[in-house]
Amino acid sequence: MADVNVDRVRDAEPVGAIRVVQQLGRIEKPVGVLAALGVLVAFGMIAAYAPLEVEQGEVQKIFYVHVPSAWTAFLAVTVVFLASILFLLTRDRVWDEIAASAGEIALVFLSIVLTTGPLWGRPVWNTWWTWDARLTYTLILWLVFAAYQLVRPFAADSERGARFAAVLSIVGFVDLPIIHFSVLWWRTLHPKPIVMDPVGGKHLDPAMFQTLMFTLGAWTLLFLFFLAKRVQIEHRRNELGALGR
Amino acid sequence: MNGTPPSVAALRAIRAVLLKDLRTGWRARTSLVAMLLFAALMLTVFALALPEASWSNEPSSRRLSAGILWVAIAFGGVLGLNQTFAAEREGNTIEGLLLTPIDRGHLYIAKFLANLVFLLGVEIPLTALHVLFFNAEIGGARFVPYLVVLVLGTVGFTASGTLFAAMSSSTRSREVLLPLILLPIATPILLAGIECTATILEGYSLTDLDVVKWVKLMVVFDIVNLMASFLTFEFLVEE
Repeated sequence: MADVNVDRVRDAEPVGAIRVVQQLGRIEKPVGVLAALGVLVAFGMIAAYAPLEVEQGEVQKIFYVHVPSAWTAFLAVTVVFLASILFLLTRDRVWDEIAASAGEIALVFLSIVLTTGPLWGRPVWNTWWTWDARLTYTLILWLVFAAYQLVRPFAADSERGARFAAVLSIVGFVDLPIIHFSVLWWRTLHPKPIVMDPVGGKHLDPAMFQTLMFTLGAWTLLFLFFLAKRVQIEHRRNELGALGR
Repeated sequence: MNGTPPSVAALRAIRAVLLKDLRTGWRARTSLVAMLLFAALMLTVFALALPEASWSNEPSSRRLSAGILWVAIAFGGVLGLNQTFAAEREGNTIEGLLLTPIDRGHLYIAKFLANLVFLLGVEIPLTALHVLFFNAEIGGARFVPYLVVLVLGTVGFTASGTLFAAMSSSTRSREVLLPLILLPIATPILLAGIECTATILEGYSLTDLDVVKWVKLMVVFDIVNLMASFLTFEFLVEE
């Protein structure tokens, strides 16, 4: 009887979400090395390769940290949303581990966005903060994800915390477009997106564009590395918790 | 329920839970009174802190008083919403409720309607205080749009509020979590409410091009949040 069980364990292909954790564990080291190299090269490019912007000078270079961080934050938010749906559908705790990990990463990068923004705004807009649509939107998103971190510790048990966090992230995500429009109509001062703009895109210096694209890539790798690492930790933590019970 | 069409059975179940909640809420009344007092207190404190809000001849005062009214509704609403499931948890009646063969979504609808009735009820004296403290002119042609905005905003706020109250009520420190979750997500409905109420107080019509988009936004927020809550409520009340 025991033999049969051992065989089954050895032969069985791991099913479902646990595979995602294993894959993330496998890519963790190479992605980590690539991300570290990428971020180093990115900072080199920002310092030496990207040309100085005529009007703003060196201050403008914070843009190469600001924009990729915003992109990474929204990527993380999307991962939280998808993993939360998958968790409620399958009840596989691994999806919740992924959502919890990505939720923390989202908060980290949103914090970077909210710090680099005012640092740039002070010299250029002559104010640290303004109730512009994008700033307000990012702040509200930050507040939602700060509250998201509290749901799990506040819940009576971890299974309940997982369900609550999933519901919050799904309802929050569904409301994001509405929040976006509401703050957009409220008041706005933020520079219009230049890169995506069909006319403005041509005005962006090729070296600037390349630097931005490179930093976007490096930050995405960094996100993948954080996610892989954080999911491993969360998974171990849950395993330990299960042993303790 | 043999022979009864499912929709009729659902309506009966919703009505039964709604009437139960209205009855118990009205009999205890503590939550209602607390909600009203707290919101009235907010209006008073803001009226004292921001005297400009009561200057009737200043256009900016109308905007201020609209903002104060909605903040008072939001905070008073949080106070009341926190109580809806807390009482059920304390008396352990939530278990009985969950054991009945009622769809979780229908349970949500009943709870939502009960909260809506209570919050709208509290808003009647609040409206009077709004007029009294801030010299808000809501008579004549302004009255119906003013009420429409209040109802649209309150529906959206209560829709997500009821969902998150169910979540917050089964956490360790029950009252803390609800405002932290609800207020950021309810930002659009508060901004829209403030914008529309201010527009009415300034004497413009809700069908003006600049304002009608805010009315639409409220309708969209109400529908989206009612749907999302209806679908996700069951995940919050599993025992």
